[in-house]
Amino acid sequence: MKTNRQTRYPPVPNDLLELPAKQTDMTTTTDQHDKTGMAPDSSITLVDADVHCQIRSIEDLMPYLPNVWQHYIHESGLENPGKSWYPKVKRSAARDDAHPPNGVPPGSDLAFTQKQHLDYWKIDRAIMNPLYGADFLYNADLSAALCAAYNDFMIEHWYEKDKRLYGSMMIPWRDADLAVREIERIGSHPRILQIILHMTPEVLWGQRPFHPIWAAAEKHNLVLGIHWGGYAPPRATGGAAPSFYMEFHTTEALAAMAHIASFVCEGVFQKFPALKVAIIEGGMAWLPALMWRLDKDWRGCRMEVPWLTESPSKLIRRHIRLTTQPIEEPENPKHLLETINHMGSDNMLLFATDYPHWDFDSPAKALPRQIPKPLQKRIFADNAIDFYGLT
Amino acid sequence: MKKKKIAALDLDQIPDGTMQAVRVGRRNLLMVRQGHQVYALRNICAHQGARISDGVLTCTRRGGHVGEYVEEKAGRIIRCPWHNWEYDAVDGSALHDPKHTRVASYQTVVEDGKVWVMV
Repeated sequence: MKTNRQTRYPPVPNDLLELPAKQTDMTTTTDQHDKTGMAPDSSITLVDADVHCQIRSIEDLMPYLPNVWQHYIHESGLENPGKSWYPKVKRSAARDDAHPPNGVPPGSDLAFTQKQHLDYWKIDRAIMNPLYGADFLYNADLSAALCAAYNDFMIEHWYEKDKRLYGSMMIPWRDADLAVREIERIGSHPRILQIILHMTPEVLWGQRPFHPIWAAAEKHNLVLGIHWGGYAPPRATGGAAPSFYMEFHTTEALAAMAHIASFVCEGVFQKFPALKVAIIEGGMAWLPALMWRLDKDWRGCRMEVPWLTESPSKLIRRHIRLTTQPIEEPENPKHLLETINHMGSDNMLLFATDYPHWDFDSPAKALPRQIPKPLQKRIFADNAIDFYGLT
Repeated sequence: MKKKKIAALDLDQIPDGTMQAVRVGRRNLLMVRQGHQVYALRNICAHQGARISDGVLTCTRRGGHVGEYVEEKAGRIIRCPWHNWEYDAVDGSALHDPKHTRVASYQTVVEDGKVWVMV
Protein backbone atom coordinates (compact mmCIF):
# COMPACT_ATOMS: atom_id res chain seq x y z
CA MET A 1 0.00 0.00 0.00
CA LYS A 2 1.33 3.38 -0.88
CA THR A 3 0.98 5.97 1.79
CA ASN A 4 1.52 9.58 0.99
CA ARG A 5 2.24 12.43 3.25
CA GLN A 6 -1.15 13.96 3.07
CA THR A 7 -2.89 10.93 4.47
CA ARG A 8 -0.14 10.09 6.85
CA TYR A 9 0.19 13.51 8.44
CA PRO A 10 -3.14 15.31 8.09
CA PRO A 11 -2.20 18.69 9.55
CA VAL A 12 0.92 19.42 7.51
CA PRO A 13 1.06 21.63 4.39
CA ASN A 14 0.24 20.09 1.05
CA ASP A 15 3.59 20.50 -0.68
CA LEU A 16 5.46 17.89 1.26
CA LEU A 17 7.37 14.92 0.08
CA GLU A 18 5.90 11.53 -0.30
CA LEU A 19 6.99 9.17 2.37
CA PRO A 20 8.11 5.63 1.75
CA ALA A 21 5.43 3.21 0.75
CA LYS A 22 4.41 0.46 3.10
CA GLN A 23 6.71 -2.46 2.56
CA THR A 24 4.94 -5.57 1.43
CA ASP A 25 7.88 -7.45 -0.01
CA MET A 26 10.70 -6.60 2.33
CA THR A 27 13.32 -9.29 2.29
CA THR A 28 15.53 -7.93 5.00
CA THR A 29 17.05 -10.69 7.02
CA THR A 30 17.35 -10.58 10.74
CA ASP A 31 20.90 -10.11 11.85
CA GLN A 32 22.59 -10.77 15.12
CA HIS A 33 21.25 -7.57 16.57
CA ASP A 34 17.76 -8.90 16.46
CA LYS A 35 17.23 -9.50 20.15
CA THR A 36 13.93 -11.24 19.76
CA GLY A 37 14.87 -13.71 17.08
CA MET A 38 11.68 -12.75 15.28
CA ALA A 39 11.47 -11.85 11.64
CA PRO A 40 11.50 -8.11 10.90
CA ASP A 41 8.14 -6.46 10.83
CA SER A 42 7.44 -5.61 7.21
CA SER A 43 5.03 -2.90 8.25
CA ILE A 44 7.84 -0.70 9.56
CA THR A 45 8.18 2.27 7.23
CA LEU A 46 9.41 5.01 9.51
CA VAL A 47 12.11 4.60 12.11
CA ASP A 48 13.31 7.57 14.10
CA ALA A 49 16.86 6.80 15.13
CA ASP A 50 17.19 9.64 17.61
CA VAL A 51 14.43 10.53 20.05
CA HIS A 52 15.22 11.88 23.48
CA CYS A 53 13.73 11.02 26.81
CA GLN A 54 14.74 12.20 30.22
CA ILE A 55 13.78 12.15 33.85
CA ARG A 56 11.75 14.99 35.36
CA SER A 57 14.29 15.55 38.10
CA ILE A 58 16.89 13.58 39.95
CA GLU A 59 14.16 12.61 42.42
CA ASP A 60 12.84 10.23 39.76
CA LEU A 61 15.95 8.15 40.29
CA MET A 62 15.71 7.78 44.06
CA PRO A 63 13.66 4.57 44.03
CA TYR A 64 16.36 2.99 41.88
CA LEU A 65 19.35 4.07 43.94
CA PRO A 66 20.88 2.33 46.96
CA ASN A 67 20.33 4.20 50.20
CA VAL A 68 23.93 5.32 50.40
CA TRP A 69 23.70 7.15 47.08
CA GLN A 70 20.31 8.62 47.90
CA HIS A 71 21.84 10.11 51.03
CA TYR A 72 24.95 11.24 49.18
CA ILE A 73 22.94 13.03 46.53
CA HIS A 74 20.68 14.75 49.04
CA GLU A 75 23.46 15.82 51.40
CA SER A 76 25.54 17.14 48.50
CA GLY A 77 22.66 18.91 46.84
CA LEU A 78 23.57 17.29 43.55
CA GLU A 79 21.09 18.16 40.86
CA ASN A 80 21.19 16.63 37.43
CA PRO A 81 24.85 16.21 36.53
CA GLY A 82 26.08 17.54 33.25
CA LYS A 83 25.46 21.21 32.73
CA SER A 84 26.01 22.66 29.30
CA TRP A 85 28.49 25.50 29.03
CA TYR A 86 26.50 27.01 26.19
CA PRO A 87 23.23 28.89 26.57
CA LYS A 88 20.97 27.35 23.95
CA VAL A 89 18.96 29.28 21.44
CA LYS A 90 15.81 27.89 23.02
CA ARG A 91 14.82 26.78 26.52
CA SER A 92 16.17 23.31 27.23
CA ALA A 93 17.32 23.27 23.61
CA ALA A 94 13.78 22.16 22.85
CA ARG A 95 11.14 23.07 20.33
CA ASP A 96 8.90 25.74 21.80
CA ASP A 97 5.93 23.46 21.34
CA ALA A 98 7.62 20.47 22.98
CA HIS A 99 7.25 21.69 26.55
CA PRO A 100 4.46 19.58 28.06
CA PRO A 101 1.63 21.66 29.47
CA ASN A 102 2.05 20.04 32.89
CA GLY A 103 5.36 21.86 33.26
CA VAL A 104 7.74 18.90 33.20
CA PRO A 105 10.86 19.09 31.03
CA PRO A 106 10.59 18.35 27.30
CA GLY A 107 10.98 14.66 26.65
CA SER A 108 10.09 13.62 30.19
CA ASP A 109 6.39 12.91 29.64
CA LEU A 110 5.80 9.69 27.72
CA ALA A 111 2.16 10.40 26.97
CA PHE A 112 3.02 13.81 25.54
CA THR A 113 5.85 12.36 23.44
CA GLN A 114 3.53 9.66 22.17
CA LYS A 115 0.88 12.13 21.15
CA GLN A 116 3.03 14.95 19.80
CA HIS A 117 5.68 12.85 18.13
CA LEU A 118 5.13 9.12 17.74
CA ASP A 119 1.43 9.20 16.93
CA TYR A 120 1.50 12.42 14.95
CA TRP A 121 4.25 11.30 12.60
CA LYS A 122 3.15 7.66 12.66
CA ILE A 123 6.58 6.55 13.74
CA ASP A 124 6.82 2.79 13.75
CA ARG A 125 9.98 2.46 15.83
CA ALA A 126 12.03 4.96 17.76
CA ILE A 127 15.50 4.62 19.20
CA MET A 128 15.41 6.45 22.52
CA ASN A 129 18.56 8.24 23.55
CA PRO A 130 18.61 9.61 27.08
CA LEU A 131 21.19 12.35 27.49
CA TYR A 132 22.36 12.69 31.04
CA GLY A 133 25.69 13.61 32.48
CA ALA A 134 25.95 10.68 34.86
CA ASP A 135 28.46 8.90 32.69
CA PHE A 136 30.80 11.90 32.83
CA LEU A 137 31.03 12.06 36.61
CA TYR A 138 34.58 11.60 37.79
CA ASN A 139 33.45 9.54 40.78
CA ALA A 140 33.08 6.25 38.93
CA ASP A 141 31.05 4.64 41.71
CA LEU A 142 28.52 7.46 41.77
CA SER A 143 28.51 7.39 37.98
CA ALA A 144 27.78 3.66 37.98
CA ALA A 145 24.96 4.05 40.49
CA LEU A 146 23.32 6.88 38.57
CA CYS A 147 23.71 5.16 35.20
CA ALA A 148 22.11 2.01 36.57
CA ALA A 149 19.28 3.96 38.15
CA TYR A 150 18.71 5.92 34.97
CA ASN A 151 18.67 2.75 32.91
CA ASP A 152 16.21 1.08 35.25
CA PHE A 153 13.95 4.13 35.23
CA MET A 154 13.94 4.32 31.45
CA ILE A 155 13.26 0.63 31.02
CA GLU A 156 10.33 0.72 33.43
CA HIS A 157 8.78 4.04 32.47
CA TRP A 158 9.58 4.29 28.77
CA TYR A 159 11.06 1.32 26.93
CA GLU A 160 8.64 -1.26 28.30
CA LYS A 161 5.64 1.03 28.01
CA ASP A 162 5.40 1.30 24.25
CA LYS A 163 6.34 -1.40 21.77
CA ARG A 164 7.51 1.25 19.33
CA LEU A 165 10.37 2.19 21.63
CA TYR A 166 13.82 0.69 21.80
CA GLY A 167 16.25 2.08 24.30
CA SER A 168 19.83 3.08 24.79
CA MET A 169 21.60 2.38 28.03
CA MET A 170 24.18 4.51 29.79
CA ILE A 171 27.43 3.13 31.15
CA PRO A 172 30.00 4.48 33.62
CA TRP A 173 32.71 4.39 30.99
CA ARG A 174 35.45 5.93 33.13
CA ASP A 175 35.77 2.54 34.83
CA ALA A 176 35.76 -0.32 32.35
CA ASP A 177 34.98 -2.92 35.02
CA LEU A 178 31.93 -1.03 36.20
CA ALA A 179 30.82 -0.38 32.64
CA VAL A 180 31.06 -4.06 31.79
CA ARG A 181 29.15 -4.91 34.95
CA GLU A 182 26.30 -2.65 33.89
CA ILE A 183 26.26 -4.15 30.40
CA GLU A 184 26.15 -7.63 31.88
CA ARG A 185 23.32 -6.54 34.15
CA ILE A 186 20.91 -5.16 31.56
CA GLY A 187 22.57 -5.45 28.16
CA SER A 188 20.43 -8.39 27.16
CA HIS A 189 17.15 -6.70 27.96
CA PRO A 190 15.00 -7.08 24.83
CA ARG A 191 14.26 -3.36 24.62
CA ILE A 192 17.91 -2.27 24.97
CA LEU A 193 19.84 -2.22 21.73
CA GLN A 194 22.37 0.55 22.11
CA ILE A 195 24.89 2.09 24.48
CA ILE A 196 24.66 5.85 24.42
CA LEU A 197 27.98 7.68 24.46
CA HIS A 198 28.83 11.28 23.82
CA MET A 199 30.78 12.78 20.97
CA THR A 200 33.09 14.30 23.50
CA PRO A 201 36.64 15.01 22.45
CA GLU A 202 37.76 14.31 26.01
CA VAL A 203 38.44 10.73 24.98
CA LEU A 204 38.70 8.80 21.75
CA TRP A 205 36.36 5.87 21.89
CA GLY A 206 38.50 3.57 19.80
CA GLN A 207 41.37 3.50 22.29
CA ARG A 208 42.35 0.38 24.18
CA PRO A 209 41.14 1.21 27.69
CA PHE A 210 37.62 0.93 26.32
CA HIS A 211 38.10 -2.39 24.55
CA PRO A 212 36.84 -4.53 27.43
CA ILE A 213 33.65 -2.49 27.30
CA TRP A 214 33.30 -2.96 23.56
CA ALA A 215 33.83 -6.69 24.01
CA ALA A 216 30.83 -6.74 26.32
CA ALA A 217 28.85 -4.61 23.88
CA GLU A 218 29.60 -7.01 21.08
CA LYS A 219 28.66 -9.97 23.27
CA HIS A 220 25.24 -8.43 23.94
CA ASN A 221 24.73 -7.19 20.37
CA LEU A 222 24.65 -3.57 21.47
CA VAL A 223 25.34 -0.77 19.01
CA LEU A 224 27.59 2.01 20.24
CA GLY A 225 25.63 5.21 19.73
CA ILE A 226 27.99 8.19 19.70
CA HIS A 227 25.74 11.19 20.17
CA TRP A 228 26.50 14.85 19.62
CA GLY A 229 27.27 16.71 22.80
CA GLY A 230 29.23 16.08 25.88
CA TYR A 231 29.69 17.38 29.35
CA ALA A 232 33.39 17.73 29.83
CA PRO A 233 35.33 20.69 28.39
CA PRO A 234 37.01 21.33 26.04
CA ARG A 235 34.23 20.73 23.63
CA ALA A 236 33.61 20.16 20.00
CA THR A 237 36.95 20.72 18.38
CA GLY A 238 39.23 18.80 20.69
CA GLY A 239 41.21 21.97 21.07
CA ALA A 240 39.97 25.37 22.06
CA ALA A 241 36.39 25.63 23.20
CA PRO A 242 34.26 27.67 20.77
CA SER A 243 32.68 30.85 22.08
CA PHE A 244 29.22 30.21 20.76
CA TYR A 245 26.64 27.45 20.73
CA MET A 246 26.38 27.86 16.97
CA GLU A 247 30.05 27.01 16.57
CA PHE A 248 29.74 24.11 18.97
CA HIS A 249 26.66 22.83 17.16
CA THR A 250 28.45 22.81 13.82
CA THR A 251 31.98 21.84 14.63
CA GLU A 252 31.39 18.84 16.79
CA ALA A 253 31.39 16.97 13.51
CA LEU A 254 35.15 17.28 13.98
CA ALA A 255 34.91 15.16 17.11
CA ALA A 256 32.76 12.65 15.24
CA MET A 257 35.45 12.35 12.60
CA ALA A 258 38.07 11.82 15.28
CA HIS A 259 36.04 9.04 16.89
CA ILE A 260 35.54 7.27 13.56
CA ALA A 261 39.24 7.49 12.79
CA SER A 262 39.97 6.18 16.27
CA PHE A 263 37.71 3.15 15.89
CA VAL A 264 39.27 2.38 12.52
CA CYS A 265 42.93 2.90 13.33
CA GLU A 266 42.83 1.25 16.74
CA GLY A 267 41.64 -1.92 15.07
CA VAL A 268 38.38 -2.05 17.03
CA PHE A 269 36.55 -3.67 14.14
CA GLN A 270 39.26 -6.29 13.76
CA LYS A 271 39.03 -7.19 17.44
CA PHE A 272 35.25 -7.01 17.53
CA PRO A 273 34.03 -7.90 14.06
CA ALA A 274 30.35 -7.77 15.01
CA LEU A 275 30.54 -4.37 16.68
CA LYS A 276 28.55 -1.53 15.15
CA VAL A 277 28.72 2.21 15.71
CA ALA A 278 26.05 4.83 15.10
CA ILE A 279 27.15 8.43 14.82
CA ILE A 280 24.15 10.37 16.03
CA GLU A 281 23.44 14.04 15.37
CA GLY A 282 26.84 14.74 13.96
CA GLY A 283 25.69 15.53 10.46
CA MET A 284 26.74 13.43 7.51
CA ALA A 285 28.03 15.43 4.55
CA TRP A 286 31.59 15.25 5.80
CA LEU A 287 31.70 11.46 5.70
CA PRO A 288 32.88 11.04 2.09
CA ALA A 289 35.78 13.41 2.64
CA LEU A 290 36.75 11.57 5.80
CA MET A 291 36.68 8.22 4.00
CA TRP A 292 38.72 9.56 1.11
CA ARG A 293 41.30 11.03 3.43
CA LEU A 294 41.54 7.98 5.67
CA ASP A 295 41.95 5.75 2.63
CA LYS A 296 44.67 7.96 1.24
CA ASP A 297 46.57 8.06 4.51
CA TRP A 298 46.14 4.31 4.97
CA ARG A 299 47.93 3.69 1.66
CA GLY A 300 50.99 5.48 2.97
CA CYS A 301 50.77 4.71 6.69
CA ARG A 302 49.44 1.18 6.78
CA MET A 303 52.73 -0.16 8.16
CA GLU A 304 51.93 1.84 11.30
CA VAL A 305 48.64 -0.02 11.76
CA PRO A 306 49.33 -3.32 10.00
CA TRP A 307 46.18 -4.90 11.42
CA LEU A 308 44.21 -2.76 8.97
CA THR A 309 44.19 -5.25 6.14
CA GLU A 310 41.46 -3.46 4.24
CA SER A 311 40.78 0.16 3.53
CA PRO A 312 39.17 2.35 6.20
CA SER A 313 36.25 3.18 3.92
CA LYS A 314 35.32 -0.50 3.69
CA LEU A 315 35.38 -0.81 7.47
CA ILE A 316 33.29 2.32 7.83
CA ARG A 317 30.69 1.08 5.37
CA ARG A 318 30.48 -2.24 7.18
CA HIS A 319 30.42 -1.07 10.79
CA ILE A 320 29.27 2.56 10.99
CA ARG A 321 26.03 4.39 10.28
CA LEU A 322 25.14 8.06 10.59
CA THR A 323 21.85 9.59 11.54
CA THR A 324 20.60 12.25 9.18
CA GLN A 325 19.69 14.99 11.63
CA PRO A 326 20.64 17.82 11.63
CA ILE A 327 20.60 17.27 7.91
CA GLU A 328 22.79 19.55 5.83
CA GLU A 329 20.82 21.90 3.61
CA PRO A 330 22.88 22.93 0.56
CA GLU A 331 21.50 25.65 -1.67
CA ASN A 332 21.11 23.09 -4.42
CA PRO A 333 19.43 20.02 -2.86
CA LYS A 334 20.89 17.84 -5.60
CA HIS A 335 24.24 18.29 -3.95
CA LEU A 336 22.98 16.36 -0.94
CA LEU A 337 22.16 13.41 -3.17
CA GLU A 338 25.59 13.64 -4.75
CA THR A 339 27.12 13.61 -1.29
CA ILE A 340 25.21 10.48 -0.34
CA ASN A 341 26.35 8.86 -3.56
CA HIS A 342 29.92 9.69 -2.61
CA MET A 343 29.48 7.52 0.49
CA GLY A 344 29.52 4.52 -1.81
CA SER A 345 26.56 2.80 -0.20
CA ASP A 346 22.84 3.35 0.21
CA ASN A 347 23.02 1.80 3.65
CA MET A 348 24.89 4.50 5.54
CA LEU A 349 22.11 6.80 6.73
CA LEU A 350 19.44 6.42 9.38
CA PHE A 351 16.64 8.94 9.50
CA ALA A 352 16.35 10.81 12.78
CA THR A 353 14.34 13.74 14.10
CA ASP A 354 16.07 14.55 17.40
CA TYR A 355 12.68 15.22 18.99
CA PRO A 356 12.04 17.21 21.17
CA HIS A 357 15.00 19.44 20.41
CA TRP A 358 14.86 22.69 18.51
CA ASP A 359 16.90 21.41 15.58
CA PHE A 360 14.31 18.70 14.96
CA ASP A 361 14.11 17.40 11.38
CA SER A 362 10.62 16.83 10.04
CA PRO A 363 9.93 13.38 8.56
CA ALA A 364 7.96 15.13 5.85
CA LYS A 365 10.41 17.83 4.87
CA ALA A 366 13.94 16.97 5.85
CA LEU A 367 14.88 14.73 2.94
CA PRO A 368 14.82 16.70 -0.32
CA ARG A 369 12.62 15.37 -3.09
CA GLN A 370 15.73 14.89 -5.24
CA ILE A 371 16.55 11.79 -3.24
CA PRO A 372 15.00 8.87 -5.13
CA LYS A 373 12.23 6.98 -3.40
CA PRO A 374 14.11 3.67 -3.08
CA LEU A 375 16.90 5.51 -1.28
CA GLN A 376 14.39 7.38 0.87
CA LYS A 377 12.88 4.04 1.83
CA ARG A 378 16.26 2.81 2.96
CA ILE A 379 16.95 5.98 4.94
CA PHE A 380 13.50 6.17 6.53
CA ALA A 381 13.38 2.56 7.66
CA ASP A 382 15.27 -0.25 6.00
CA ASN A 383 18.75 0.82 7.06
CA ALA A 384 17.73 1.07 10.70
CA ILE A 385 15.87 -2.25 10.52
CA ASP A 386 19.00 -3.92 9.18
CA PHE A 387 21.44 -2.13 11.46
CA TYR A 388 19.57 -2.52 14.72
CA GLY A 389 17.74 -5.71 13.85
CA LEU A 390 14.41 -4.05 14.55
CA THR A 391 11.25 -6.07 14.70
CA MET B 1 55.40 -8.39 -29.62
CA LYS B 2 58.58 -10.30 -29.04
CA LYS B 3 60.54 -9.01 -26.11
CA LYS B 4 64.12 -7.92 -26.36
CA LYS B 5 66.82 -9.09 -24.01
CA ILE B 6 68.88 -6.10 -22.99
CA ALA B 7 71.81 -5.90 -20.60
CA ALA B 8 70.94 -3.56 -17.73
CA LEU B 9 74.07 -3.60 -15.57
CA ASP B 10 76.80 -5.83 -14.22
CA LEU B 11 75.72 -7.91 -11.24
CA ASP B 12 78.57 -6.59 -9.13
CA GLN B 13 77.31 -3.03 -9.70
CA ILE B 14 74.35 -3.76 -7.45
CA PRO B 15 75.30 -5.13 -4.02
CA ASP B 16 73.04 -7.69 -2.42
CA GLY B 17 70.16 -6.06 -0.53
CA THR B 18 70.25 -2.81 -2.46
CA MET B 19 68.39 -1.19 -5.31
CA GLN B 20 69.59 0.93 -8.17
CA ALA B 21 68.07 3.01 -10.92
CA VAL B 22 69.14 2.18 -14.47
CA ARG B 23 68.11 3.24 -17.92
CA VAL B 24 67.39 0.43 -20.36
CA GLY B 25 66.64 1.69 -23.81
CA ARG B 26 63.98 4.33 -23.31
CA ARG B 27 62.84 2.91 -19.99
CA ASN B 28 63.75 4.08 -16.49
CA LEU B 29 63.95 0.94 -14.39
CA LEU B 30 64.61 0.10 -10.78
CA MET B 31 66.75 -2.96 -10.15
CA VAL B 32 66.44 -4.70 -6.77
CA ARG B 33 68.86 -7.42 -5.75
CA GLN B 34 68.14 -10.21 -3.30
CA GLY B 35 70.98 -12.72 -3.30
CA HIS B 36 71.34 -14.05 -6.82
CA GLN B 37 67.89 -12.82 -7.80
CA VAL B 38 67.48 -9.40 -9.36
CA TYR B 39 64.07 -7.84 -9.92
CA ALA B 40 63.30 -5.07 -12.39
CA LEU B 41 60.45 -2.60 -11.98
CA ARG B 42 59.35 0.51 -13.75
CA ASN B 43 60.86 3.35 -11.76
CA ILE B 44 57.74 5.48 -11.55
CA CYS B 45 55.25 5.33 -8.70
CA ALA B 46 51.72 4.51 -9.82
CA HIS B 47 50.41 7.23 -7.53
CA GLN B 48 51.95 10.58 -8.43
CA GLY B 49 54.94 9.62 -10.49
CA ALA B 50 57.84 9.82 -8.05
CA ARG B 51 61.05 7.92 -8.82
CA ILE B 52 60.66 5.02 -6.41
CA SER B 53 64.42 4.53 -6.53
CA ASP B 54 64.62 7.66 -4.36
CA GLY B 55 62.73 5.85 -1.63
CA VAL B 56 63.92 3.06 0.62
CA LEU B 57 64.32 -0.68 0.24
CA THR B 58 62.99 -2.27 3.38
CA CYS B 59 60.43 -4.73 4.76
CA THR B 60 56.75 -4.44 5.48
CA ARG B 61 54.65 -5.35 8.49
CA ARG B 62 52.16 -8.13 8.22
CA GLY B 63 48.60 -7.73 9.34
CA GLY B 64 48.01 -9.72 12.49
CA HIS B 65 46.35 -9.17 15.81
CA VAL B 66 45.77 -5.61 16.89
CA GLY B 67 48.92 -4.35 18.54
CA GLU B 68 51.09 -6.99 16.89
CA TYR B 69 53.87 -5.91 14.55
CA VAL B 70 55.47 -8.67 12.50
CA GLU B 71 58.04 -7.79 9.89
CA GLU B 72 58.13 -9.75 6.67
CA LYS B 73 59.37 -9.56 3.09
CA ALA B 74 62.62 -8.01 4.25
CA GLY B 75 64.71 -6.54 1.47
CA ARG B 76 62.06 -6.68 -1.21
CA ILE B 77 59.68 -3.85 -0.33
CA ILE B 78 60.22 -0.46 -1.93
CA ARG B 79 58.66 2.52 -0.21
CA CYS B 80 58.00 5.51 -2.41
CA PRO B 81 59.90 8.64 -1.37
CA TRP B 82 56.81 10.84 -1.52
CA HIS B 83 53.70 9.23 -0.02
CA ASN B 84 55.14 5.99 1.30
CA TRP B 85 53.28 3.61 -0.99
CA GLU B 86 54.83 0.16 -0.71
CA TYR B 87 55.64 -2.07 -3.66
CA ASP B 88 56.75 -5.68 -3.71
CA ALA B 89 59.86 -5.99 -5.82
CA VAL B 90 58.89 -9.51 -6.84
CA ASP B 91 55.92 -8.47 -8.97
CA GLY B 92 55.55 -4.68 -8.63
CA SER B 93 52.26 -4.96 -6.76
CA ALA B 94 51.27 -2.20 -4.37
CA LEU B 95 50.74 -3.73 -0.95
CA HIS B 96 47.57 -1.79 -0.20
CA ASP B 97 45.82 -3.05 -3.33
CA PRO B 98 47.88 -5.79 -4.95
CA LYS B 99 45.17 -6.89 -7.35
CA HIS B 100 44.63 -3.54 -8.97
CA THR B 101 47.62 -1.30 -8.36
CA ARG B 102 51.17 -2.00 -9.41
CA VAL B 103 54.21 -0.75 -11.23
CA ALA B 104 55.27 -2.73 -14.27
CA SER B 105 57.70 -5.53 -13.59
CA TYR B 106 60.09 -7.13 -16.04
CA GLN B 107 61.60 -10.57 -16.28
CA THR B 108 65.34 -10.70 -15.63
CA VAL B 109 68.12 -13.24 -16.02
CA VAL B 110 71.66 -13.23 -14.70
CA GLU B 111 74.17 -14.53 -17.17
CA ASP B 112 77.90 -14.08 -17.46
CA GLY B 113 77.95 -11.62 -14.57
CA LYS B 114 75.38 -9.38 -16.21
CA VAL B 115 71.77 -8.67 -15.42
CA TRP B 116 69.59 -8.89 -18.50
CA VAL B 117 66.07 -7.48 -18.70
CA MET B 118 63.33 -8.65 -21.04
CA VAL B 119 61.59 -5.53 -22.31
